[in-house]
Amino acid sequence: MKGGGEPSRRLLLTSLLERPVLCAWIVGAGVIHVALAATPLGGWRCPVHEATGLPCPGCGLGRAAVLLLRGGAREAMHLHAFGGLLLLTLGVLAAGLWPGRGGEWVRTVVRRIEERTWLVPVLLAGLVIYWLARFALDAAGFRALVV
Amino acid sequence: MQTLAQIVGLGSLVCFVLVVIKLFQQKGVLHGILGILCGIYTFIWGWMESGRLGIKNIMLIWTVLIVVSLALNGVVAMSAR
Repeated sequence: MKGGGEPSRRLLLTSLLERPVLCAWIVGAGVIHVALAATPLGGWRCPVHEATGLPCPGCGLGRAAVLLLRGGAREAMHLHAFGGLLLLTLGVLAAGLWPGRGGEWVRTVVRRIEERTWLVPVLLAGLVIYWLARFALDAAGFRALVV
Repeated sequence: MQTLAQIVGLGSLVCFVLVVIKLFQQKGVLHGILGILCGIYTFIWGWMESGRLGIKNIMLIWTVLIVVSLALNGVVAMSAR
């Protein structure tokens, strides 16, 4: 969609960037979650895991991101292969909040990428497939590793 | 204590699912999947839309359950020392 109005439902990141308050809260909560994941307190408690004991597709992302930030790429990949994606997404959302031309450029680039490719839906689908594959290949190991 | 934690966790899951359903209905499949992958997003979105969607009570309950869960985890951690 060009001009005003809500972005197409396929434009996930664009729709978040078009709502700066929501975007700011997400970035803030994401940063706090990653920071807390680096401490014994841990970050956000996954409702799925709290209730069922099973890890959801996003479980381990925060800790994998922490490992990446500490230079442990191999350990991060072992814990959750998409840890870098979390950091990238938070970075893009934060950059899109930047006032002035910088933020506007980021929002334009993100919109163009989302309009011309299926990158975000493919990555989300990949996350879910990755989760299913981990359960299929080594459910017990996956549960012990991530939680 | 463990039973209480499970009940709190179950309550939290119910609130999470209710809000995720709203997310799917209001914003479509991609946002819904993101909401499942990232409970934080669901929580934040739920609060931001709570007035418009009439889910303020659900969000209040969910928030209380999260706080109780954190407190229970803190008690367990301290008693383990």
